[in-house]
Amino acid sequence: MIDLTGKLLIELRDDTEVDALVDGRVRGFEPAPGDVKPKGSYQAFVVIVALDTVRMSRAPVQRATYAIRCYGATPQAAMALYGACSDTLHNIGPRLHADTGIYISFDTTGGTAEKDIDTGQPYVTFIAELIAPTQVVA
Amino acid sequence: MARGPSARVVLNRAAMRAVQVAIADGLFEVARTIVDVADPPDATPFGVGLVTQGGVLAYIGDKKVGGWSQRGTQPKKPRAVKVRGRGEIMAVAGFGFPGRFQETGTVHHAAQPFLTPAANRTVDHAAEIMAPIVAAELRKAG
Repeated sequence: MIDLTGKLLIELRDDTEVDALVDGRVRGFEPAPGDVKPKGSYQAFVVIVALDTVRMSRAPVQRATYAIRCYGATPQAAMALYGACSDTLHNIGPRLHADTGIYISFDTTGGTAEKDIDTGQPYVTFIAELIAPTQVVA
Repeated sequence: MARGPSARVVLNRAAMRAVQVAIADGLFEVARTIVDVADPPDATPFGVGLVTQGGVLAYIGDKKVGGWSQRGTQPKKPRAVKVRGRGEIMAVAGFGFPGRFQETGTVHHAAQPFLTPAANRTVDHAAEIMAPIVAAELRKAG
């Protein structure tokens, strides 16, 4: 079984449009120390959270679901970051990362604008679904 | 080219409505199973039931045809849910505040997904859950 979180993180971090907004701050599971700033000095970052990984019973294929939280300094910046992340993943077809494949990925929900309940920082959440093999494919 | 029904076909419009209701009831049961199967991380007694307020809604077009919640009251339609009057059949399953923050996390709280896994486990069995309900409704409709 292959964990796709790292592949997803690399895809978002390496995208020039996303990187221009977050300067490399794309994280898995939780923000890194220093990402979260108090009100007035918010900075953009992305957090990828694995929600579920369903493994097909008769084929070496998984359907992985991720929540992607796009934080911005303002609601507009958060929405712009969501747009960049969604463009990177939505309806993107087969690709290889070294010996790991991703058959296709989708933004399945669209973005929902929110404010973090702890810091008040605006962010947009969307759900991405990936269909990928569970085995090395090279 | 699209053609209308031939003279030999008699459309039973009342039965078509019964089919819609039967499917909506089946979907409602699938959604209710998702809520039942979900195991919120701060369920009672730890979180005094903050995320034990699961609920289900079912719509045919823009008309609500079913509602149920664990509290026993009718749930309110979430703002994000858009219902349209075009005859689409839809069921919605979810949990009240702060279920969303448990599911996807916050800056100081790691995500503890409970609804997506429950939905994925249940949707695989949707046909089995729906079949007896739909069949019973259709038998009633004749």
